[in-house]
Amino acid sequence: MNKAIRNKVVTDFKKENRKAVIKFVILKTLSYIFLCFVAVMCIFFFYLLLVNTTRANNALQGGKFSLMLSEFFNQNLRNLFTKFKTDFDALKGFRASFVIAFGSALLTCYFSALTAYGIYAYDFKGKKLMEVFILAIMMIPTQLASVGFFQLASHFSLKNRWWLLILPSIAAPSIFFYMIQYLRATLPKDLIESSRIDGSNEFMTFNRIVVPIMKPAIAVQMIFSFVGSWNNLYMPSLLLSDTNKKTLPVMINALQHTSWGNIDLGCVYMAIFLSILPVVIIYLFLSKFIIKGVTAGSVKG
Amino acid sequence: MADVVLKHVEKTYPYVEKKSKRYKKSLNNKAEETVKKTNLQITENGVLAVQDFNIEIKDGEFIVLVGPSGCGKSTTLRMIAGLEEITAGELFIDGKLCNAVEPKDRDIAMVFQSYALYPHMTVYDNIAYPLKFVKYKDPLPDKPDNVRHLKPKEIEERVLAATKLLDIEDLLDRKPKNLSGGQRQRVAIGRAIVRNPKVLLMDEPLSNLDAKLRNQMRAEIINLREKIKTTFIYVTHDQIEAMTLGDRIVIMKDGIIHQIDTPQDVYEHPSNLFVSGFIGSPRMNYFDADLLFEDGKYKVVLENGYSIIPCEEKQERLRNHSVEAQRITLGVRPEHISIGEEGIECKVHVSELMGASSHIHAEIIGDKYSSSKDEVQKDIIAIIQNNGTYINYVGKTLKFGFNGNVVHLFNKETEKNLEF
Amino acid sequence: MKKDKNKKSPSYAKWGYIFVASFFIVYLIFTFIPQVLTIYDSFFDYSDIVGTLENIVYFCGFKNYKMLFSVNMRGEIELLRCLGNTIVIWVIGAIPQMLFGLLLALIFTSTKLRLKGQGFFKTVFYMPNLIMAAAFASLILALFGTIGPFHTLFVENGWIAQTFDFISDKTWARILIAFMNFLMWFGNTTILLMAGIQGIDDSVFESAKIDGASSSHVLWDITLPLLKPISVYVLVTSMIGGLQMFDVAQVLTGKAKNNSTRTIVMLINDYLVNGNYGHAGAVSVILFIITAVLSIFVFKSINRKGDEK
Repeated sequence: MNKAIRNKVVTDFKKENRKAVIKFVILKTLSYIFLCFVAVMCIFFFYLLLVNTTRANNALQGGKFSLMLSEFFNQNLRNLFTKFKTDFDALKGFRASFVIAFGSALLTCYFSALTAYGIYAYDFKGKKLMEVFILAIMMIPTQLASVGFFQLASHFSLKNRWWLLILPSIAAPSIFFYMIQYLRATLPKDLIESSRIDGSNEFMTFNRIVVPIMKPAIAVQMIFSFVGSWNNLYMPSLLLSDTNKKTLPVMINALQHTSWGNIDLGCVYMAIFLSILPVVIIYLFLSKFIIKGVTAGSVKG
Repeated sequence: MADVVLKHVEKTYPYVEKKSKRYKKSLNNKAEETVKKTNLQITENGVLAVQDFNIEIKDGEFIVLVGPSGCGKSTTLRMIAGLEEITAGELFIDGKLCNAVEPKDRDIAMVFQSYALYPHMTVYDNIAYPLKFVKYKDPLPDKPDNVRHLKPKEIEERVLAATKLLDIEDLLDRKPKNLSGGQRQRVAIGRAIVRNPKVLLMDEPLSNLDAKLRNQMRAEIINLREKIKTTFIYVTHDQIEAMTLGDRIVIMKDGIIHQIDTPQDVYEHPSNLFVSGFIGSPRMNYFDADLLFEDGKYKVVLENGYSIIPCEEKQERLRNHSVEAQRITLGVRPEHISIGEEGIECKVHVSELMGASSHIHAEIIGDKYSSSKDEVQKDIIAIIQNNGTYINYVGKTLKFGFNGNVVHLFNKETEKNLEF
Repeated sequence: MKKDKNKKSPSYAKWGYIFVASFFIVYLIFTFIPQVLTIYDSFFDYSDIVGTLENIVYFCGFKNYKMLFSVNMRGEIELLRCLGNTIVIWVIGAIPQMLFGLLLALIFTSTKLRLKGQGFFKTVFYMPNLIMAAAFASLILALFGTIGPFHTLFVENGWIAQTFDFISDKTWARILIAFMNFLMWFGNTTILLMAGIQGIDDSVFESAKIDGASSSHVLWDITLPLLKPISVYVLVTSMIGGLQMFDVAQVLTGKAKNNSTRTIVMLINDYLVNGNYGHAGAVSVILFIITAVLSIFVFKSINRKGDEK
């Protein structure tokens, strides 16, 4: 064996690795550039939106492109709630969107948890069949029901009723699926038994013990349901024709039907901005939580 | 085949500085926890996982790194493989300094604890995969430095040879998910040996198998070693595997080597208390005792008065090291305790039938004994051969005796064996 | 003969029924019956009463379906046109969505490049998913329409003619919609593919390292093949969602009557608004059948994945 090598002093490893290090640095830099490029792509249009909410209508009508914030934010905001009201009633829209989104989210989470608990905690005839059935109907697109739903609503003169958009969310198969997965992973059935022994009736057990345990799952789904309902256009646009009852997406859709030459564009941008603002704020506070929730339910294994 | 030399190798896991205060606190807590659990040293740079590791492994030797969990044996193996950076010290494989060499250039192969088979490839493809990257010197008349990859036919030959050696020829078309644990392990070994590596690393390969299969595979690894002449470096926490497989064993704890020796030497001459307790099952018995020097001879006296005179070999070694009279911990293996007329009176309270023999757990009658630092052992364990008839000794009083050939003397504070 | 009740333990089974009742009752009233009605409608001729106040419809068998598959005044089959539009727009958006998703997932999970600020980037990339599609489309409409800043900018630089309109141009309208779909969904794809990569045992990568594989070999021989199952899942669920494309296309091009961007659901919507439940129902049934086939495929592939473990 080569004793000369054994007595060698520790070499300068960096010299040998210089090529590898340079390649590594280049790769890292390229990656950062790519990430920044994609980030800019994501934010760019919303930055433009913000910029345009601060510009005056004349500037906007001229079609000039600008990246700088101007001073007309407050002006546009005021105009939106006063002069622009006929085209886009922001307050009413917010009210409508909020009631429907919050109501849907609340009902869907509570009742999905309730149903999931019913299937998980009790043994009864047809239980397995019911669960498979609910999973199967997850695959049916909402449009299949929408025709009949709309027809019935028209027939019974029930258009423009908010509850018609809120109540159906009680039966939400995908949220049910998420809740039952969560129950299977976190709720030991002994807990239910011991609660019964303590004298609690079944509803009390569910409300006082199970629901608090399910808080994380409910929280995530509340957010997703709220956002989904807030953003929904299809069903509300079919059912809500009364300007007092329209939700924000429906109002925004209606904006494009008016001629934009005669409209205060500053208010248009402001309207769009305000419509997405609540969700953006929710997201900025809870982003880590939301992103974690994406994989929790959807990917197996 | 190649020799492997490690000189003063160290591995430190550095603290990661993070901006948020919360994270810093939890990281320090983690480090503190690790320290509490494993007695690893913390330096300013981080946690010292492996400290001053020195060994010269000869060509074709089978070395076993053994020790309790967290002792750094896997970390050392991974440093040899190139999967972990060596913080300090030098690693030589086949005489070449390999600290900064990529794993694929070290000409080594590794069998992982989880086998790490490619789940989407068949057994054949799994074993053939490393051969895709083998470069062969094929000097042509105009290109003396020509290097080429293996031809498909050559790959096939090598794969078939490896599978024949491991008896898995009929599994070639299966995917890992359709194999049993033992079969997967063989495929993992096949993938490792097919390249004829200079060094074969094995990271606790038998841990995931059931006891019966483990025994079988142990024998097969010994068999394999006969057929393949390569240097083996094997990591395990099981001292039986270490004793049966290794040419030499490296016993580690908390990142430090406690002893490197042949299995026999480790058994007969453990260098300290930890090694003596780790090797051998059931565990060595320990007594508090006094080492006295009377009439030119060393004498060991237990607290109840029982005294033993170490044999002549041990006397000589003690004299050579100028050992003084002191309080010591006396160690005697259960298999060396004889039950008969003379000895310490003990009352048996547990008797474990092992089959051919019984393990007797007894308490010394008289003063309450406490062995030095060990938490658990208040019992003395002895082994009785049943010789066909099983006698239940529970409740009986027996006399446990031992002679001067089998005593191990350990310094009470340093825990080192006084003979070395 | 009375049954001795003391011998039986209390049965809580009935509570099961009570707890699930709400779901099934609501489902029955608000979903199941409407679904049946939709299918029922598809066999009735409503076209005569469109625009009138008459209520009489008559059974017409598969006439609606035949009409949908027949050539209209412009010489094409509207249903297939819409189906084609939907699929083309989806494809244009899905390709960058999958590519960017894969590339970003690889960058984020790479152990060699330990990039900082991953949390920030992930937050930014996922955000478009939550933006109201109608608002986003409205924004793009304002920005790219004939009075919008982009139009003016491009005309000033001579890149387009004054009369050119992004929104009514057949190709550009599709590109704009596809681009919006891509922006809204690539973040989601990235997160899912990341989960797929992290699901691969680390020691498989280490073993490849020792076997001699370079980074590109590891990518092609190991990472990508092992990502195939989840990629298929992502792709097909994206397709199912893509078939239901409505918000963006409707807001951007609903008024423009740009025939290259009319999606299937826009078609249903148009029929519904006119009261033509027959055609609307028929198109819905056709959409349902296509979606059901794709869903069964996803379901089967998930189960196959489960077997592998």
